[in-house]
Amino acid sequence: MTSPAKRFERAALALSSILLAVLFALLLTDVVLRALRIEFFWGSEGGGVLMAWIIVLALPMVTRTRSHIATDFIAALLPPRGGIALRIAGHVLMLAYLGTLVWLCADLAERNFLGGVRSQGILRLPVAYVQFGIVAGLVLVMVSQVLLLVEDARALVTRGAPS
Amino acid sequence: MTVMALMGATVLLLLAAGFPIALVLGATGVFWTILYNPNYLGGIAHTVFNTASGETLIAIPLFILMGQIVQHSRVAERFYETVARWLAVVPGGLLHANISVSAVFSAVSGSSVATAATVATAALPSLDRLHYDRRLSTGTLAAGGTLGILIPPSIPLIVYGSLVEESIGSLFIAALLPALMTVSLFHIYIFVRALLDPSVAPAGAADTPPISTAAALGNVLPVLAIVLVVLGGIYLGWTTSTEAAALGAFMALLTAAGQRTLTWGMLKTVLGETASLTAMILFIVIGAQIFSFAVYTWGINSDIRQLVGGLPYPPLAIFGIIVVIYLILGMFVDALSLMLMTLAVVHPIIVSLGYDPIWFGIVLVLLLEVGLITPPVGMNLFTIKAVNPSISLKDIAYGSLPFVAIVLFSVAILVMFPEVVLWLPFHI
Amino acid sequence: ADFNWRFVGVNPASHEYSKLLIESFKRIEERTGGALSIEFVTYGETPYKAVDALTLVRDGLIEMTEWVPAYNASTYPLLAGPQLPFLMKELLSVEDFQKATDAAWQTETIASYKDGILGDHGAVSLATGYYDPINLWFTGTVTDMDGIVGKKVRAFSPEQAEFLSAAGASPVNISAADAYTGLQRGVIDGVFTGAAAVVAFKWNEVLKSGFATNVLLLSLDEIVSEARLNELPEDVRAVLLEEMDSVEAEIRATMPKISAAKLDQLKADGFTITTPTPELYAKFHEIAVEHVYPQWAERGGEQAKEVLADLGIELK
Ligand code: NA
Ligand code: NA
Repeated sequence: MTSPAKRFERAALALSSILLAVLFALLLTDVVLRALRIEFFWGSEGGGVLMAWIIVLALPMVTRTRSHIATDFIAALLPPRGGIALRIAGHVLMLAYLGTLVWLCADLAERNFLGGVRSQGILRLPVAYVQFGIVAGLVLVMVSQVLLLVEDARALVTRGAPS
Repeated sequence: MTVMALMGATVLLLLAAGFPIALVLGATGVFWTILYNPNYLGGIAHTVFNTASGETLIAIPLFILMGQIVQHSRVAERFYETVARWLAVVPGGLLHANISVSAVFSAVSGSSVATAATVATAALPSLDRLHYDRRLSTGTLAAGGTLGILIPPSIPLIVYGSLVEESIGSLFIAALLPALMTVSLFHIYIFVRALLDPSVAPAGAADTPPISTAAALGNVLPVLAIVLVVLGGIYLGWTTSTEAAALGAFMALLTAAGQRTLTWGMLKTVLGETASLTAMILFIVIGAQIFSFAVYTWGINSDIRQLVGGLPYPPLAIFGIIVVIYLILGMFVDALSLMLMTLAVVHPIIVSLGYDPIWFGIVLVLLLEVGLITPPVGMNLFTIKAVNPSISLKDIAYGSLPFVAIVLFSVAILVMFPEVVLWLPFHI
Repeated sequence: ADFNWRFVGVNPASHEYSKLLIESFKRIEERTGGALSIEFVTYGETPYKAVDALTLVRDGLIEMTEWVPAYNASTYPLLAGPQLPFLMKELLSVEDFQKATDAAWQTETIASYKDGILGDHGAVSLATGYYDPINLWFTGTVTDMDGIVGKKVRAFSPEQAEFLSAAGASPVNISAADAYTGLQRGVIDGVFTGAAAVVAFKWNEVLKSGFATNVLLLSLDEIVSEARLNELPEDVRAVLLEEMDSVEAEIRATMPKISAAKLDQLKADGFTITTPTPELYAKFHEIAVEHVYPQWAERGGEQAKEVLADLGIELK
């Protein structure tokens, strides 16, 4: 059951990598064109949009590979089962946190969208791209988080050893 | 005040449970916002959107990209070998190479862990082979690595500038003299130690076949070119700090291509790791901003201003207390997280005490550097250990201790002579 | 207090307008016997951005705030109308420029458009004021049209960017925080801003010259949530409205003084300040009519053409 999940996490990271390459190219273009006195606003203004997408699309993989920074030296002193139980508590809290963010962000994005398409900057990029993109990305992170929770819950039931 | 203490306690409790720092800060922020008034929860969505699409933070992925490209090519090993050969004649030998190579790689990397990992991988084999003092050699590597966040580019400085709305370019320029000073102090210490006890640094790095001057320059110049583009770009005004990052990454690509280490697979790995690291860091920044949203909602900022304004102590005493708190917290919490969890409270204090925010940015980074090499949680100690697991953490920590003292001495100098920080950005 | 509000200001507490507001909040608290207390904070102290002022009021997150309509002109292009560059046919005194700009905001199309936006967000404007005139500033000594050609200038609206391009300069978009270093190191050669902002941001340390040429007046509104306003007892509300009326009058009276004082200060600092000849101003106006307004009218649709007609501008 983890294999399709891993596939979506990999695909999201690949997309994030591509957007990173685009961001890189935009900024290089910005430097060159300004030296040539040619106006170009995509570097500074498009960057914000890309940044938001890069972050949320890479987060599922960060979650899956347990790469979030934590101060776990106290948790490491616990017996294995206690450690796993604490980890599960962490997953549940993380899900609650992500769920709250999704709910709040979706609410604001929807309200902004219904109140007339908002746009920003000289290029007048619609902010809805950023806002709905973040919401969608956070939902993906929640999926990865649920899978992690299942993995640890199984470990707790079957072996009691850290997975 | 009570609320502030309870919020701090919430953070420490969740932190001790080993939960991700992003979650600890974010969940604490959400929880305390609900306690204040659930109607204000909507402000958290504004916070998330503003942080995730923040234009000033764009420099972060690009500087990480630059560092990753350098780390994944063989640029560092060749650079180290050459510099080690040149410095072999100075008392202290390779130990000086550890520091100067760390300083140079700090200028192509925004993070201390990346710098320590890059240089330690290149250096540890030679140091072992030549029987250098374990503690001193690993200490120089761990401490040299901390320069990664002081010498521009620096991810903590980018985040700091972005959150307190100070120019990142000015912060980078302000960091140059303090960095130069700290690096010199490191070198002086090594020199004196090696004079007093030559056995810590046995002479002779030249046990490998000699290489031609042309080859040596070929190893050194590309790296210096990257540094020149990044620092020169910012300092001479070709670019903003964000664009300097893009140019630096481009130069790193060229260098890797020149040394024939650039492959499609390497590029894929580098982009993926950069995206992941960026997401990990920004998720913490988002959590920290939600935490400071709660701080703002409860009106703690203005409480603090009033409290500090009414304290009967001189600013220096309050500043001293802040330093001690950073040293204690720095033992347990990693650098960026420490900055993010304290900034909402500390920045208003510093400003109301009359300190310059650019100056404090640099002092703060020095204090974060100390945290990187103090046990039990010191990311650079862990990094050296990860590069060579046979070395004990205790040895690395002991070896780093003198450098903790040196960095604190640097802080003292900056307190006495703030111009060391403020002269370059505002007078040149 | 019965009502504890926060006012989130765009300007720092040290700004003249902020001081006037803080004074009036004190008077309001005294006059209402402590019933209404309004705390002054700035956007810098909050995790919010000033561009979100309207949605923050709409969502009940802020009771009162400063709204700079230009920040939302990207979403509501018509808001740029009264602050199009070089809108007036000739160079006016700062006092007259303020009156003329205010008249532009009062034209029927614009006034109802702006009220509509405020209404959609459940907000009411209690006072409208103007910053000192936006002018053009350079790191070198620039005194004529030729000097502008080829310069990289920071612009913060499409209209400014179009003007610069048409005048032979190149518009650059960098953040306000990066502008100081950018000017200092030559990433950019100039900025559009007011004399007061030049001093406030310490850009006078890196700039050398400017045109006192009334590019445009940036407007700001002190707005309040309609729902919060309606909650106030009648007598308290009356005090608030009255005080905000007098703040409006004070801000408008202060503006020309600030403008003159800051220009004098810059001159004393050794700035070259050029007051354009009627011919040079006419040239600026002509570039705007030919190259800026048509594109704005395009973005703003039929209504924008009405506005231009109301303002007496004829497109060719
Ligand atoms: Na660095
Ligand atoms: Na530590």
